[in-house]
Amino acid sequence: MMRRFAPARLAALLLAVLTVSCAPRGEITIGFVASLSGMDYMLGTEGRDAAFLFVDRLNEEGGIGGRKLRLELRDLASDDSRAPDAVRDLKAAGAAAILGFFSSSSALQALPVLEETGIPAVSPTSTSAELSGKDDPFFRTIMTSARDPAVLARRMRESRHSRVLFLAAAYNRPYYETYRSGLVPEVALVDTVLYNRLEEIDYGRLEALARDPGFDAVMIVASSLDSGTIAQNLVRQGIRKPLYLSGWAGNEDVITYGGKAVEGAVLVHQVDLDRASTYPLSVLYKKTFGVSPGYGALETWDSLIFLTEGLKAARGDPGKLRSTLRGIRSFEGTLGTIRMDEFGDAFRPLYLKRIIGGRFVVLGRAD
Amino acid sequence: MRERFRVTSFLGTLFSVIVLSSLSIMGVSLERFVRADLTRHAEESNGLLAASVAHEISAFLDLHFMGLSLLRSRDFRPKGVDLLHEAYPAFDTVLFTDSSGRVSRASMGSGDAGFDFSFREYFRIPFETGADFVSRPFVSGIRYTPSAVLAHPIPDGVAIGYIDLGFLGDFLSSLPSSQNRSISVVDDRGAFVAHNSNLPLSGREDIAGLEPWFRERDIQAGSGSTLVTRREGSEELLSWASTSGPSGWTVIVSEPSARVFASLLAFRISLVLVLVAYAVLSLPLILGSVRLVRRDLAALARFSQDIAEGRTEAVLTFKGFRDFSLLASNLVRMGRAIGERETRLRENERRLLETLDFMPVPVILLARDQRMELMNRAFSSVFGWAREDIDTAEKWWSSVYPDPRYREEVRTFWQEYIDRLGRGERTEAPFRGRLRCKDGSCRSVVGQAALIAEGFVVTYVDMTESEQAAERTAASLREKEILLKEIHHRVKNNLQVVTSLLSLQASGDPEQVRLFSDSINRIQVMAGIHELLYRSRDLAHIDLAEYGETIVHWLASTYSVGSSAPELELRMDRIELDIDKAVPCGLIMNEILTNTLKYAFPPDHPAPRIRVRAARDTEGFVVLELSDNGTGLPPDFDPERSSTLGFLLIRSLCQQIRGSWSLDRSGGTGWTIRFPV
Repeated sequence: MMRRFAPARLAALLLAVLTVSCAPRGEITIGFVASLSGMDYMLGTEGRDAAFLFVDRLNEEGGIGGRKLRLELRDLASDDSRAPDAVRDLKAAGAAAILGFFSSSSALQALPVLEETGIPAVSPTSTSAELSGKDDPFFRTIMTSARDPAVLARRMRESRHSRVLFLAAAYNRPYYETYRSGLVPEVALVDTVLYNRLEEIDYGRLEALARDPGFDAVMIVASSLDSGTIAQNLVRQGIRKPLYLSGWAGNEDVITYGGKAVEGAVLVHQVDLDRASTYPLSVLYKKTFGVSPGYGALETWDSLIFLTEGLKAARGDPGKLRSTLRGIRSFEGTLGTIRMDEFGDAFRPLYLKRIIGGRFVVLGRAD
Repeated sequence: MRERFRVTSFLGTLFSVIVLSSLSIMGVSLERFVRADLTRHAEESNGLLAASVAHEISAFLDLHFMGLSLLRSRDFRPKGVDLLHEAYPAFDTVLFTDSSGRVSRASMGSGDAGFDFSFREYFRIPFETGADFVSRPFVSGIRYTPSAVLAHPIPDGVAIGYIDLGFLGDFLSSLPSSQNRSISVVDDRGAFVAHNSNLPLSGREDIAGLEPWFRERDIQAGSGSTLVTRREGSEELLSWASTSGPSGWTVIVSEPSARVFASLLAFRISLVLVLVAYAVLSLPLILGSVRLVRRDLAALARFSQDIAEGRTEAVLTFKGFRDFSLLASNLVRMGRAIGERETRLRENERRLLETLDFMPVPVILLARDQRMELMNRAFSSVFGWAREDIDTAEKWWSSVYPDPRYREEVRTFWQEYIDRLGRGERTEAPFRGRLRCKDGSCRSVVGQAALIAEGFVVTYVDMTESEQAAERTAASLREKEILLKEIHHRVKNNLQVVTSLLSLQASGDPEQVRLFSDSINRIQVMAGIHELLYRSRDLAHIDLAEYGETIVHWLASTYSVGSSAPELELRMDRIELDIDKAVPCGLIMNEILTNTLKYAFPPDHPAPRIRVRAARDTEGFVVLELSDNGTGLPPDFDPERSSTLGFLLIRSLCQQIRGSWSLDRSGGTGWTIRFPV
């Protein structure tokens, strides 16, 4: 019987040879969620560029257990309400984990869906205290910014800046609330000015506030672009007060956009960019994109290091990833050891910085 | 039957597979050509599009830089920013800074007036380099829309224009060619400037700066094409072209290779269908053809087997393919020809055997294994054996060579003999032997063997009677020899009697003794010859050396008295002379030596010496030299004219033996007699 159909089998084989195509070997999909457009695009795009560099290099070295990583991007377009759908979409796409979210507000929006889907998420830059101490699938390799306002408040007291004008981006409420609630017990907030768009800020009113009741300093909780622009506008309005900035504004863009207006501004930050200049990925980043990586890139790499360690421990099994991530108590990040607690929150050094001569100067450890 | 079916199926399938494989290879090769052609066409088309867009963008930017350059005029500056803002819709904002980087004036609606731009690269770089500058794409601080900045250095500052890149995106998406293609503009690091799908800036998953092809492209070339595989596995054909001027932007036109090679799918499907159709339609035809061919081949094979096995009369009836029919008819003719040649061959063989059989010389034909194949009549007649008597090798050896030792000897010789013949060495010389006849008698033979085909032909010549005749002749010769010896002996004795009678007659008379002594000597010389002949084995020749020595010693002993005997130096080669030459030669020697002994040496001669030499010269003549160191002949003595008996005899005897003589009178006397043998 078999011999009779040997020619037919041969023909079928020949046919198959002409049309067969190889299926790709199994990859590990990592979702990447950030705002890549809109007003809040800067951290997201920097993080995306850094993530691609990291994944490309990891794949060149063989991936994890012979399996390559693939990034699946979702753009929040500076609209936090898109976060839950982004998570569901990535779950459907087979993502084993999510690298994101780059703002606390978007992270908080996504949290219920993360619980629902069980996908672990590792955030490089979400620092709101509202995300701390929770047994959930959310991890972050950046420390909560809950300590930042205390450090700044101490600095304000030392500088005799007891009355402070508080300016913040309203769309990142959890983040600015961390700062505001931390400052309130320590200094007097003359006024809290919130904005959704920069043109909403009434600088005339701020000028009036500067006269009456007056304030000693200005605390701006906004992105680096916004912080720089606001600083320029304050100067243009004649309001030349010492500036205190949030960690959110801690990259070169605040100097580019703020110019001399941000000279002398003080901030607290968890990344010492000068130390990071020799990190191999930093060198590659500069060679590829022509600019040095900001803290968004460095912290993205920290998150990816943490995530890949978890994947290695789980031997590529997504079902075990959450437990392996939770089991990591410390790991070597880009600038040193980062400790992790049982809730997936990080502990890392904190630096007090000041903008002097158009560059960030580390004044010392703040922790 | 089942075996035949399997073989037919196998051959048919094999043939089909070979043809299908060939067609497939052809199809694959053709597909490559088509693919290459499609690629080239797409590259040309997309490359042209990219170059056109790059040119348009370059012109656009040049135009706007030209506009900013108007701000070089101080008079124009106060209202210039607003005028430019109105005249160039693409400018979202126009402003200029002073040398410190502070914005001196900005167009209406701009929030940057009075701002410090000193840290911004679009102030710093053009101000420091004096060259136009195009910034990287960014989100403007006011509208959060993707923008880029054109900066043109002016005296004491920089003129800056913000370009809303959505405008560029609109332009790209308005291009007709953009429907099925992705057209993007990226800066020198691969960051997106604009895209025809008008997605927001930085919303693209792929960043050109991360792509190896982008980093490795030849910027100097200004344009190029490449096929890339995206991270998600899709393949795209990318064509790029760089803008001119300070922007450093690159226009990238990408088209999915699935679309570029869409027609290839149809080609592949067609190819597969053709192959399937071929397989379905041709396989039965091929199987049938193979079956027919094999049937014909089987018939031809059977017929050729009949021929090979000698059945040349076999008949082949054939109704197959034309070429096979030709082959069949050729095989039939070949079979007939082989049959005819076989018949002729057998006839020739029969004639050969009959020839051998009727030859008057005893002949046997042996196979390689020494089996008797033929024993002709002459052999039977001479030796009495018939083939049946000694048809095997063992019977031959035991019957014909009954003596075991002699048989073994012959066997060894015969084996070596035929081995040499078998190696192709030259025909051996005849061999001699003795064969036993059937009647028990033995006959002497001379035989010779030759290697022919796969056997040996051996001819014999019966030498028995010849040997017997030779024996008889030898016996007769021996009788005659004895008789001749006796004659010589009696002649010698008679001559001795004559010399004795002469001696008796001369006794008592010294003068008569002197007169007879020479004659007696001469007779002795002749008697000496007959003595030598009597003793010689060759009754017709004597050895000159032996004869000469005898004469010399005898004369020396006769004529030498006491201590005056001359020294004799004899050097005579062994030269055989017949009696006709030996006698005269001996007499010559006698005459010369007698003369020498008698007259050459006075009693006070210090060291008399006689030298005798005999040898052949290069012409074969015998040269006899007799010399002495005596007083020599008298000066007036002419041996040519001397009438003494001795010299007369010398001259006469030389003539008799057709020889010549010469005389050397220096230092004694030296005779040289030269004569032919």
